[in-house]
Amino acid sequence: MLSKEEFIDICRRNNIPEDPEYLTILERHANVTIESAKLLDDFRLEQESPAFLYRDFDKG
Amino acid sequence: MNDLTLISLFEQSELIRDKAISPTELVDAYIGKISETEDTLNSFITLTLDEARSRSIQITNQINTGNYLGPLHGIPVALKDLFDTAGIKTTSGSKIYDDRIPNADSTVASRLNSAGAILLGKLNMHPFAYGPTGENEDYGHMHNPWNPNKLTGGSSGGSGSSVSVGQCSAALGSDTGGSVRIPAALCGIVGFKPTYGKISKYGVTPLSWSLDHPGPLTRTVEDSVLMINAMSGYDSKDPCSIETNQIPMDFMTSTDISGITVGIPQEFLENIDDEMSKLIQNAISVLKDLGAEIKTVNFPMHQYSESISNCILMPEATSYHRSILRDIPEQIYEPVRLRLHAGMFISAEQYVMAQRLRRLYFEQLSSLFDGVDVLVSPTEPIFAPDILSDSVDINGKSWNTSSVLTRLNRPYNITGMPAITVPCGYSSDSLPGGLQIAGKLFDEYTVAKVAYAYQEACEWKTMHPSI
Repeated sequence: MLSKEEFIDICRRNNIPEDPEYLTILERHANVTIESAKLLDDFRLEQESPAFLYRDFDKG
Repeated sequence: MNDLTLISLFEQSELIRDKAISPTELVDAYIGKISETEDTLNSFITLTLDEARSRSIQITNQINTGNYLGPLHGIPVALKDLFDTAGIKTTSGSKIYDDRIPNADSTVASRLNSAGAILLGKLNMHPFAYGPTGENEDYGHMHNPWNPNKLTGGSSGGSGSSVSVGQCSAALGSDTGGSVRIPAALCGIVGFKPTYGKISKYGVTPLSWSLDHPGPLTRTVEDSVLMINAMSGYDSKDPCSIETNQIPMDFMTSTDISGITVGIPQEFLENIDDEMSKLIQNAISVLKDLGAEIKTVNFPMHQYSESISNCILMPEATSYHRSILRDIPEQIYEPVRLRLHAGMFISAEQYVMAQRLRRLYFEQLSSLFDGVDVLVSPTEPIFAPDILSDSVDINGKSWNTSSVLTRLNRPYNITGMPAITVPCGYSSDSLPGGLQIAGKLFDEYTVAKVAYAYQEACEWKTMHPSI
């Protein structure tokens, strides 16, 4: 979940209009989106296809 | 003769070839049906009926003088309003582009035109194809012919309603997370998303270029194959285009599918409406009776389908629409604007990670085909919900509508594998359900063979909405 400061910072950097009602709905959408994206953190990419291992700096 | 507007494209084509009907008679029949039903359904953004009638007269003369081009010659079609058509308004479903008139045809419009198809108009859609419901405040919501209070599904909602009720012989849609298959399933028709790259995306407004697939919506399986064959083939204007073979039509010679193994991914049967589950179990029994071997399989990575798809689709859509998002955000339909803005919260690292995980996901789903020929599931966990319903109930539990509608479709956008939906029965409220059949990359033939065998074993293709 985003902190209020992070949310406002991303909105300002992207010139999202500062309509409070809209921003409240967007914050909810943004948090759902971020939670969905975080599911991908389950993966360590240890079984990745060789084609994608080239220069995989995660693996040291 | 049965209602001309509702018989299959394949049958219409034979009647035209044999000069039992003329393209002008067929176009006139559709003009009549459109005038009867369009106020209720709102399938079209732009109608081109005068041009269609003039072209039908020219084509009738061509055919009468021995210049028959093939199965699409004289067939009336309609295109989702994100396929560019030279000289005809193309809006992508948004009033922002209400006065946009392209100079050139999309490759698919050009190929359909060369095959002799007749354009009846441009179809309503979820704005920018960014939503699976078929809702659109700019041009009005689309309405399901089986119950006009219900969603058509989207984003190719007008494509679904128009083919289902008989406003055209076939329609074209685009599918990024199910946008061909969802409206086809909810409107009780066939929708076929072929392998990624088989149909050119040149001149098509992107939603997410690495997930977008054009595909037909039709009343029968064979009609979809005829449409795909007319539109496919390498196109140097689309960097993702692939040279592929035409799909042989000989799948129509037999409904015996013995020797074919059908895989049922157990994860695709979870959290499905009870009535839909019964339809799917019945459909699986029909496939077994037709000779198929049925095998249970597992696809654990399905739990990441929505995350992988979102992390790719959302940033790509936001990137494509960045200039209007910056300059005129207030003119974008709010639910779409929220999704476009939410895409800004996916980091570059998450986007790249999702593209890398896509490879693992592909390998796991591909490995299922080591033991089966096709995968079968419901196309949708539910029947068509009410228009503007944010949530839906599945057996007592509430779910987000958009998330449910795309749940079983996304795997085949992420992997690019071909997938079709065919009607498989009706709910107690007379709403249609869809059976999804998917295959290996470039194996549209086996998908069509199984789908056709199922279609011919059932009576669903003879049932039409009665508005």
